[in-house]
Amino acid sequence: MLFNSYIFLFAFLPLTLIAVWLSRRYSRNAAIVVLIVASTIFYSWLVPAHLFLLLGSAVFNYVVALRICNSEKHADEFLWLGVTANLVLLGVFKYLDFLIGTVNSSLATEWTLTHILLPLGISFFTFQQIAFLVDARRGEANVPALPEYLLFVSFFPQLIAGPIVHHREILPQLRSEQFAVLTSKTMVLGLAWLAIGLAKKTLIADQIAQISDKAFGAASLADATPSFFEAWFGALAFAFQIYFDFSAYSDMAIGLGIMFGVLLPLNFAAPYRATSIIEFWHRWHMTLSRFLRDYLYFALGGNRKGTFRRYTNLMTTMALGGLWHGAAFTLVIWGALHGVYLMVNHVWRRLGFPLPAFIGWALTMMAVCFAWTLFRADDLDTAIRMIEGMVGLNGVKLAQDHFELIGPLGAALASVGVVFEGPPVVRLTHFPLFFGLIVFVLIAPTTQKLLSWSSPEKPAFRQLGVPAGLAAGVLLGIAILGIGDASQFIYFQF
Amino acid sequence: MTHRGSALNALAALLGTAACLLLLIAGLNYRVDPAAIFDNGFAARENATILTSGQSAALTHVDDRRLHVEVAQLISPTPDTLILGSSRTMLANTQMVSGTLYNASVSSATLPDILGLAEAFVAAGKKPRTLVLGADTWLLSDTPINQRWRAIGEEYGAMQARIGDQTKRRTTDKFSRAKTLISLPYTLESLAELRADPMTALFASAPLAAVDPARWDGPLKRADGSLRYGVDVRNRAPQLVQVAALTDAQQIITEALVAEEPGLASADRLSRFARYLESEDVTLVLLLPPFNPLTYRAVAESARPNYLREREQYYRQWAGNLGVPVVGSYDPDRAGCSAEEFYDGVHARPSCLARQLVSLGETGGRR
Repeated sequence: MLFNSYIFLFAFLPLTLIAVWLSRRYSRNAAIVVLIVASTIFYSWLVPAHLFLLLGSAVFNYVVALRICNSEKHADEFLWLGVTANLVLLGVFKYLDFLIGTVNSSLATEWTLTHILLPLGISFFTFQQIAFLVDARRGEANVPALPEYLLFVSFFPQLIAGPIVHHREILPQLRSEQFAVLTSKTMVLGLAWLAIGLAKKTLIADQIAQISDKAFGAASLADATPSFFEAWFGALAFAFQIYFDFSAYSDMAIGLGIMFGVLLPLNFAAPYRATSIIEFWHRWHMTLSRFLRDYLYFALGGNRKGTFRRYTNLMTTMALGGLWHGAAFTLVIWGALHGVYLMVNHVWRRLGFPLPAFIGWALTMMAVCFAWTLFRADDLDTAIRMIEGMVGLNGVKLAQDHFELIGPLGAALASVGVVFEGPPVVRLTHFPLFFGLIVFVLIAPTTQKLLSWSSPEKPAFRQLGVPAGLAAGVLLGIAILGIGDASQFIYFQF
Repeated sequence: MTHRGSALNALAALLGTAACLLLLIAGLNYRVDPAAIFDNGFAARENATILTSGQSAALTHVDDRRLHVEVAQLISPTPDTLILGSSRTMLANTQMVSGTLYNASVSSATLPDILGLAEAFVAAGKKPRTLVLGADTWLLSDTPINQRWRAIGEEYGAMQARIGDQTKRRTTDKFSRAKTLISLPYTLESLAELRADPMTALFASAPLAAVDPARWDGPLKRADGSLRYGVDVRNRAPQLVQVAALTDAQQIITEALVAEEPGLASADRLSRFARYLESEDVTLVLLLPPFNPLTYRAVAESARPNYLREREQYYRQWAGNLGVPVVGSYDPDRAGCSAEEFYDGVHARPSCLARQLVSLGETGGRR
């Protein structure tokens, strides 16, 4: 089920809120059970069979966590068993066909692809549970009652596209007095977050997607030679699409969590304002960065074993982070490229030549957009064609009808080598759109700022009054208009 | 005021505003109704009058299913050939066949659409000599791929009764219509009409006028019911055609992976329909509209490579059993169509379609 669908907004959510409200009057445990049932309905809406996978995975990990906590002697073995089983599950459902395809193309074999349908959110709930097992072994996690654990894994606001929640920030909330207590304050705040997220998704992300789909689609043709503007417009469009798409999902997830009395961690903090790549990764998909740092980078040794090992660990972490996003070489290279960016950034910092903020921001944006082409392209060839276009190898070309459209500027551009020919793949009218979006992401307040969220641990919500309620209502109404045929969130595929 | 009271007021304001806004917009869309979904057939009748008087009509204000039902009432003389199918056959026009033709193809046509439209012509006493049925891959799915047929649900029900099909049926599509009232594209269209002429948009039914094909850039329906795409589609950049072809291929590959086998109930319904036409001396011809070679090849290299071939074979076998002639082929090589003769992956240009219909005279006489 999608957050941006009529069935979710007008049936599932209201019914779940009513059921939780009624059950909470009875007991906290009853509310937990109701939320588990609701989450399973939510998850199984598209492919009911995948529900067995989710529940099977949760029960298995729960049993393993119990064993780890109760067995001094074999705790390590149980940890390895749990982590291996989780990785095997992820490997079979997410990476098996990738592996077979790679072997087939490298060794000219003809092994049959399995075409297994990727279960929604498998990367998220698998990582979440690996972290739980590791912490159980470290003695940093107590195994809760089974219903609490099931809800921790399956809580529908964060189930299929994050944030990747940590047991330390969720399980205590399930035991708190505020859990599932529906108040006018939590409802209005939750709905405000939901409205802002929904508006970002339906009014901005889905609209920009049309531009990036066109540009990347054209570049996917074998003989394509995307020109400078086509390639950059495509990359920029995708950069904004994924920004608003992901930020929208995070806002909606947080809003839904608030409605049920659960504060989910922030996942997104205006990453396009970053003036360095290091800062970008502190702002982009924050819960994934945290997971990769705590459970991969540190486990590899972090920065404790010298400079060479530090950078090797960094590269490994980022490349695997890329692979986490999907089974494709483009994503591995995307991750590795960010690893290189981070290395350069760290080395530059050590050299002690701070850049002016604007130059730092411009370089960061260019580097990020450049890397997004790898993230978005369907295959490596498409990515290469886009990159060739972005660096100007295919010339600077505009559609023939743009020559007259831009008046005297047309002649001026033609005199410096810009070619005007053929029908348009992207339009110059996108230019002001991108400019407007850049200004928007730079100066518009983030949702957390707008709603006075200081931190997940210490939220200091603004007491929303009637004017804010009116504004959020208008936004919610307009955002609902944009739903149409609900489109998937990009991060659902991970 | 307490904090609780303040939050309650804010919540009431939020929900109230969102609800009022949606109601207001739904009211506006219902009143302006730019696609004439709630006009009780007024626009369909107006457009049918334009078409049957030999002129062309713009396509922005009409439900094409209702339009053809109205045309069936007004058209005279009865066309020799009636074409029923989806957007893939919509471009077939009278110059492609001998005698007169009316093309009653509708977007994403399902079997209920085909039967309902045929009923409209039969009930109006306008039985053609030849009925060309554009057979799409999804035609025989027992679960129709969309619910648009419900706009002509009454006619579908009547044809079911006529051919002795007792399957239960529902004939309304209130949910889809209600969704339209709170959709952004529909609201933007309403606002555009409102901006252009507020009084007419709000208080009068828009006068529908014929359009001059030489001066009209948008899509239009000609007097013979055939479609002419707007200039943006006709002049689409070759790269974008290729992209569209590959995108369409992706959709077909997805469809192929989850496609039901041709449904027994639907196949039985179509067979009953074919026998009924035979009993009424109407020659049924099955048209298999070709795919863009790029699309066809991409599907042939996918996880279900034989999907299009299997479907074509099924139709040919079905037609063979009933003695129904077949023209065209999903396979562009067999159909003799090149990649340049397509607007995207699935919509052939008139030159390609004409090549499929050229044998109609011969095939029509075989029965």
